[in-house]
Amino acid sequence: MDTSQLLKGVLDLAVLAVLRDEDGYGYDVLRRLRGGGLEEVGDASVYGTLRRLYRAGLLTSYVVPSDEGPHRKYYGVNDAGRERLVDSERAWRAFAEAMDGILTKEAAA
Amino acid sequence: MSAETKARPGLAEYLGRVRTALADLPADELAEVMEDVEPHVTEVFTETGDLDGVIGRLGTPEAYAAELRAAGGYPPPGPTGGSALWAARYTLLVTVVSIVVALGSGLVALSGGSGKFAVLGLCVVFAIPALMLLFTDRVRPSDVEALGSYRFANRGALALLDKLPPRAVAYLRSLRPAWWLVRVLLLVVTLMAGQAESALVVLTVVALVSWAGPRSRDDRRLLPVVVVANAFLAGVAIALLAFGISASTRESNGYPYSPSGLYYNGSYVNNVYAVDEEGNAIPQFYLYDEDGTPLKLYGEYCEDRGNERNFDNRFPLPRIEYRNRTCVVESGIPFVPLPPGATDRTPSVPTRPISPGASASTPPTTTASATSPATAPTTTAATPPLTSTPAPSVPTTVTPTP
Repeated sequence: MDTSQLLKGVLDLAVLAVLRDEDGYGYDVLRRLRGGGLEEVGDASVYGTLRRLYRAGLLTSYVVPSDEGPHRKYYGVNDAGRERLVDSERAWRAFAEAMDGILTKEAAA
Repeated sequence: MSAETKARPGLAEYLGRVRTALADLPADELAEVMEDVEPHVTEVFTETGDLDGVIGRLGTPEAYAAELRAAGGYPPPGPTGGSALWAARYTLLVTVVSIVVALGSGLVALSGGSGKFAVLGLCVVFAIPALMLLFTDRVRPSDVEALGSYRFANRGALALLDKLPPRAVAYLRSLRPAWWLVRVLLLVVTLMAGQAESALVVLTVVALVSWAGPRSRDDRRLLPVVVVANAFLAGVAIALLAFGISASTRESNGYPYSPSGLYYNGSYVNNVYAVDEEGNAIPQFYLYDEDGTPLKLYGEYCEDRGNERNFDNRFPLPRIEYRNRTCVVESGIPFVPLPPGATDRTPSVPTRPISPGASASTPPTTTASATSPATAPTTTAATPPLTSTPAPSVPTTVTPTP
């Protein structure tokens, strides 16, 4: 199955999750997601998702000057973002559990 | 754009193309997006070493922008931003005006008169920038279709089509393949009409439709051209149809074309004069037919009269002459009438008319005496000319003393 279809639904949650403990700029987020096993995530999708979460008021952002290249814009999760993360995480776990159950039952049958 | 983008060939162009593809976003948001994208693409460039590597990983700038747009929940690309919106509006406006003008020009294409294609030519001039916008993809057909005014007009047209009986619509649709035949027919008729200018225009338009019509199915940029060209041909077809119908009804009814005005023995009557039984001119009378309808003729008056009674049943109509650039009303009889009792023969026409007042109040001999002897009829003109003066151009002998 094409994992990019699955990714679409959970990219918000994944981005919020990798920013939970440490702020990061776009490429950081991308690396963390890929490092976490989501190799297929598209570069531009991550940047788009960051902007959408920011516009939804779930992220903060600040620019850090860089000596080597363009200034980097860091994103961090704010309180609203943390609340959303908790809700989404709960929904995801319930969903994953349900899917797991269905798949297990079908396999056993 | 900073110094390091300049050192990397193609990087600035890649970023520029991403920015262009997202140009419809609000300026603030676009700036924020580019603050993310610039370090990202720069970093990928550093890792891969060249632009091909960047494209290999991130896709084309347009694909990158499209992915970012989809993930970012931005509206699909449309002509929402400044110049693109105006370009789309201009294209739509020119198309609509051209359709109307083309239809009108088609209607008059076979009629006489010069300059009937002037407005159409003007439309072509205005259409050139719009076509350039379209064919350089600065205005996409989807941009025009996204315009509120286009959607409004389209909805209206579809609603109108819904109101038509479905059988009529189906019939019109079934005629579509015959349209090429109609085009050929139009061309033949125009060539036979013998108007070089019209034939050339129709030939051009038919060629244009034949070339662009089939291609417009794949390339919608050609669609406005095809619609305008077809509107012109439709105008020509309607004009021909109307001409044909009016010609055939005229024949079947057997009514000859009857022009306005008074006729006597088949020739046009310009004025009417009346005399009493003694041959005296009746200075003023009014004509009616058997139903009491005034028999009006168009009369020319001098300017100070204005236009109040130009079309009148009061006779005789004044005759206008210009002497020394002044307008002079000649209201007398331009001939000497034979007394009604005399033999019917054509009266001779003198150069100088009779004043109506004199002829009404004086006996016929005086009337005749007022005319020049050279042209006076043989009946009553016994007396020599007395008071009649020649043309006013003759200088007066009276010189005022200072």
